[in-house]
Amino acid sequence: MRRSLLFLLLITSSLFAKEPFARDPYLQLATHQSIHLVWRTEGDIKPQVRFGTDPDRLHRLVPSHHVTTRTSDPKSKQPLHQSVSPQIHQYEVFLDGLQPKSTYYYAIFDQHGKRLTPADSSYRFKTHPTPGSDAPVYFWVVGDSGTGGRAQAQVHEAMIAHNQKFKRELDLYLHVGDMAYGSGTDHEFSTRFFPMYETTIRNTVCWASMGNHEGRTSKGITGIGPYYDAYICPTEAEAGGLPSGKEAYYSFDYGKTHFICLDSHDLDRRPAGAMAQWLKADLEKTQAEFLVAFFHHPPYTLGSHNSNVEKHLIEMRQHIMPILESGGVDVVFTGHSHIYERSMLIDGAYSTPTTTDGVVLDDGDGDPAGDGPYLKSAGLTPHNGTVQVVAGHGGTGVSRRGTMPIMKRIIVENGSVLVSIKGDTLTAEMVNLHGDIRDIFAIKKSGTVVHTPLLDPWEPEPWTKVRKKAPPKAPRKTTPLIAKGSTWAYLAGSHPTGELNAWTKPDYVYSNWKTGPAGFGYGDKDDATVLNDMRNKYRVVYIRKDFQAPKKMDPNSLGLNISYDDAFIAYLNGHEILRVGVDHEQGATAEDFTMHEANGKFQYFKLRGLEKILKLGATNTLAIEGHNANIGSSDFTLHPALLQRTK
Amino acid sequence: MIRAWILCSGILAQTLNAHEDLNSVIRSLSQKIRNSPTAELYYQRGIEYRAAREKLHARTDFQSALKINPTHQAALRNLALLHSQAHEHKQAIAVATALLDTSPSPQTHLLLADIFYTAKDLPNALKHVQLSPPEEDHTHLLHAHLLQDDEQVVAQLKRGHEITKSIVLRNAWIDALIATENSKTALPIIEKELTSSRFRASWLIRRARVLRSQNQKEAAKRDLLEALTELQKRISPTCPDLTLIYDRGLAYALLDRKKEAQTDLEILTQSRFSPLSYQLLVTLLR
Ligand SMILES: [Fe+2]
Repeated sequence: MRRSLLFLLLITSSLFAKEPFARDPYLQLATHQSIHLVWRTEGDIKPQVRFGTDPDRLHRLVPSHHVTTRTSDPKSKQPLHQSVSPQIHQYEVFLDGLQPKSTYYYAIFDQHGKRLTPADSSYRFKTHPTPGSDAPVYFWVVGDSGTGGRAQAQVHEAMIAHNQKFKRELDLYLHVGDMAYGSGTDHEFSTRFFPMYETTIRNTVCWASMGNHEGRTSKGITGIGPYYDAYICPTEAEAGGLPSGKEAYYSFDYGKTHFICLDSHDLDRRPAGAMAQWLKADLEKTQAEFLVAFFHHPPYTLGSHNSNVEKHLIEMRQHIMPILESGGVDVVFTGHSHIYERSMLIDGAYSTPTTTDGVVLDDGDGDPAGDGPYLKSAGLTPHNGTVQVVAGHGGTGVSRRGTMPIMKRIIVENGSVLVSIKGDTLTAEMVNLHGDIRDIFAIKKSGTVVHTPLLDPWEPEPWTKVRKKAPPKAPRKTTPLIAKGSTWAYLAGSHPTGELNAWTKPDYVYSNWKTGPAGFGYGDKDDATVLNDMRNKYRVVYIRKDFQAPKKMDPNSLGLNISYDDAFIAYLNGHEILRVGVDHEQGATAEDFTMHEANGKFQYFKLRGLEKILKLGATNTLAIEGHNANIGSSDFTLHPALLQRTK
Repeated sequence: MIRAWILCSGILAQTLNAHEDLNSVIRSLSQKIRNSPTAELYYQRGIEYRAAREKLHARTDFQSALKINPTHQAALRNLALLHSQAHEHKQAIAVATALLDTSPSPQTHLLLADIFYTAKDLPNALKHVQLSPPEEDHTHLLHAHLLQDDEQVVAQLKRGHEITKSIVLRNAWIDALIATENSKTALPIIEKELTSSRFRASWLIRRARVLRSQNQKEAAKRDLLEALTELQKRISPTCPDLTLIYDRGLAYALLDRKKEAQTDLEILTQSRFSPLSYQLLVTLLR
């Protein structure tokens, strides 16, 4: 009895113990001899930082008076955004006098000398190699990830697992924007960006470019807002390149690679604008051998966005791409469009709409094990070929609206890109949220390579053909764990009570919900439970059902066979497991839908990554929210079945 | 060449249906507006319309937002910009002045300075640019452009560079130094850039301008020809980088190859490249 009381006490005290950090420590702006460390606490802790090359002997000390403190007090220097609680203290430490290409370990202490970061060697950082030196670089590229949802976490976990498997360590992390949906508020950064990547950004610098969602609360022109509070970007060429005078666009060097970040969202994109003039000067100056550019709005895409008709995308293609290509850019990473699209080796594709006419230099797949890497001249050569990578698939719902003809790979899955530049070769891998390598391409730069545009290049399958292909059907041999037409509990016309995901959890009390047989909907005569009051009244229907999972089964043998119109999000035991046609958020605040007609057909989705979620030999809860893209739509359908694949 | 440029620019896109992409966002905003219209919703839909290059719809939405809330700052700013881009100067000035009245800010002064500059009302442009944000490159570039006295131009750009640290202002300052024949300050910087840059054309052109002012015509010619050789390698024949067309135009003009320089200037004019940035080429061709 006493033991259980003690246990209870321990649990309660740990529940109420104050987290040391309001934002866990993360790294910013690294050079070959310095780095910045940033974190937040609630209340002033007058911190000190210790660091050193030996994790057991952190012999160098940064006293508290050398730590920059920022609060939202408007009278303070560099105040944080007004939405930040006055209790929050953001600390920024500049560590310099460091050795190039060296690993240091760090720890943060409060004013009483209490160590706040655990004695854990993952609290470390690595300085850049000496600029111009021959060191390899390995980096992670993520876009459009900041939902705080399961797909975002899975993409992150898949990257970590991939690096463990191949014994690799990140040197840096590029985020191409939309990192804190829906408006990049301080709170959204604190819940949807920092905690999601905490284990990576405590030892890897995230170099960011601003997305349109952050642009709702942060402005490139003033450098003010939660985005600019979160990041410390170069303004005076601290890490290489030329000074831009603005955090919104900048460049930096890592060994022989030059990285350029642009603000495609809210600054003048025209060639006479300050950003383009800076870009021109920066490109003329760099002596690097590889050139990587990154920004939010993709010059080429037919994912969730269309670069043939949207202003920002057209302008990045027409105004900025000519400058980058006459400067010899190798790869351009972007996001915004929620898809993975990767081009062939192209040059000069600035016309609208985008075609392959006279712009494809190599129509192979660039895969060293396939058609072979794309070849380019050594060093940076103007108009020698660029690979465009749209990596807007980092965590939000993915979709496709067409076939962009210059693309070699079009993959509608969540994931991220891992890039290594070593010697004369750049190799990039797209790793999806399950850890599968879904695309590889390489660029090998040596000697002199002269390209002339191909007369009749390969083109991906036209959209009309792709679209006609039948949606995936359920495997032939299955056992239903929840059969078609089963009875579900459902909530229509209001939103569930409690915390955001509470209604998806097994222990949720839903006695006031109705019950009825699937499917649910109206308008297309395919529904068993007809929701006559739905049209023009409400857009979301919530359903949930318990089921028994066999004791012995492969958790990855489950699939959802579902007839739906327009979109849905599925949860298993409180965890989001599948999201189709909903780009952002969930429940009452869900937005950006892809329309889909059920047409009386069922589509099969394999469910993966359930190992830690599915309870074998026990009761599980499947919960689904169905969405209509338009409240006045003529129909709505939600009819799921849960199938187990059998041999 | 000009024809090729027109083809590769966005003009073809005008015929495409701009609705197909941002459609769902616009539809959902329209739905919300039908249920309960607010200034913010109209403003947001206006922004989406603008992204879809539906300028008329965007304008109507900004106006609807202002009918509900006449002091909606973002709607005022965006409406003023749309008017200015359409060369409706009077309306642009009226809307931007209303914005200045509701919330005076350096950014709004810069907006007004730009609008007056586009309307060719230079005294008012100068009045507002003096109150524009000092941390902006554009403030100093426009301010310098509006000043009559060459020494003042140099001082303005120097001050701008000291405040912003931006390389764009540093280079503009060097150009101004050359224009005032102050080669003592400019030349060492130019020489340093020539030895440390990968592409040298813009710096060779700057040195040639200094050399010409010192009557070293042959040396200037050598620099200009070297610059042209490098530029030809970088300029794509079908879809050129306009910033390089400007450099090439300068090199031609300085070599007295007026016809070729004129062609390059025409490409810039037709591309809506800001006149502010090719002023030097215009002057050389006079
Ligand atoms: Fe975006």
